[in-house]
Parts: sequence; structure tokens; C-alpha cells
Amino acid sequence: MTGSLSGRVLDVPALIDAATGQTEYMRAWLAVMTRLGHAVAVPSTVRALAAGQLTASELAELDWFCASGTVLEIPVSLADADELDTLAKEYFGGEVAAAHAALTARRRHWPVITSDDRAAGFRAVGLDVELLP
Amino acid sequence: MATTKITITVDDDVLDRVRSAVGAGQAPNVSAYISEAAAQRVAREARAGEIESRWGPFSPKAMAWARRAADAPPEPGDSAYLAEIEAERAARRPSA
Repeated sequence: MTGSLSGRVLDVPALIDAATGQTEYMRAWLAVMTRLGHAVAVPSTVRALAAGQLTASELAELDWFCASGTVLEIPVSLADADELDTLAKEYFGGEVAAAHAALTARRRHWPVITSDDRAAGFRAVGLDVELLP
Repeated sequence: MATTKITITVDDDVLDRVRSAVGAGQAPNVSAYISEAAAQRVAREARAGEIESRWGPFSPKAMAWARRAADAPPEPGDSAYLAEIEAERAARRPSA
């Protein structure tokens, strides 16, 4: 842990944007978060799902992004399996990565950064959402 | 490492907390506590600089959104960029 009391949780589109540089928003945001000492949580399942959609060069950028001291990778715990399964089925059409992001955000009381088309599930869980531009 | 004695000004409430932390054994003395905090800030600035060197420079519009999304204090002109971003997002949404 960085000791930071403030942070954000990244969903798949945010991580893909950071890796591909399709827009500059997420990369600029990481610089600001780093300067402030805020934490960035990347659930391991989110990273895996994003990685599956990236080229080799984009994967290298993803690795560099996640190696930042600002980024905390959140593993899946066996103890969370039932809660993840419930969240995935009730709010995310069975997608475990989104459920993992929601669970991480709920436990830390941090907002999720995601795209407009995926925000409804997170809001239904009761989470704050920051939409990608 | 060489050290230099300096005089700094610190808010009283911050100094009280620093002294409490030192009293609780979290640092050997006030100087060590403040020095460690400054070193952490220096490291964060260096890392942010690496990010900007690799991926920047970033546009004022991107920085406006980044500041808002990071809860950083806004800078003059940010609100206009944020309004522009929201208008672009609204234009992309399918009409009801």
C-alpha cells in the first residue's frame, strides 16, 4: 500500500485507453494521480481482460503503466468468489472483471473509471463513476 | 548522505501531528519525519515526470479532465474544457 487515503479503480476501457494511448486522457490522469500520491487500483481480472485485447507493443505500455508505484494490482481471493459471482450475475451480465472492479471499489469506497456504456452496472451497485471522455 | 540545516515554517496543527508521530516512535525526530515526507514528494514528482516524458506533453483539455478525475484543484480554463468534453460525450450518445 502507498498509504494513500484516496484512489480510483480502473475498469477495462480505462486500462485499454491507458495502454493504447487512443486518447491521452488516462495517461495524463496517471501523471496527476502520481504527483498527488493517490492510488490506482487495477483488479487482476480487469488487467487480464484488457490484455487480451492489446497488441504486443500495447501490452508493453500496459506493463509500464502497471509498474508505476501508483498502481496497485488487486488479486482475486478465493474468499471473494461467491460475492464476485453474485455481483457478476446481478449487475454485469456475468462478467467477472467488471464485478471485480465493483467489489474493489465498494471495499475501498473509491470511484470507478469506466466508459459510458459500462457505467450503469457500477451505478446500480451504488458506486461513484467517473466517465472516460 | 550529506545534510544541511534549514529553517522552515510549518502549520501548527501539522507540527503537532508530526510531534505526536515522533513521540509514538514513527520517526526518530521531527527532522527525519519532515525529510522523509519531502523525499516521498520528490520521488512522486520524479515518477510523474517520467510519465510525462514517455507519454506527454498532454493537452490542456486532457489535463483539465485528469485534474477533475483525480480530485486535484482546477486551473483557470478547466471548466470550459470539461464542458467541451461533456458536450462531445452527449453528442456520441444515441438519441432516445
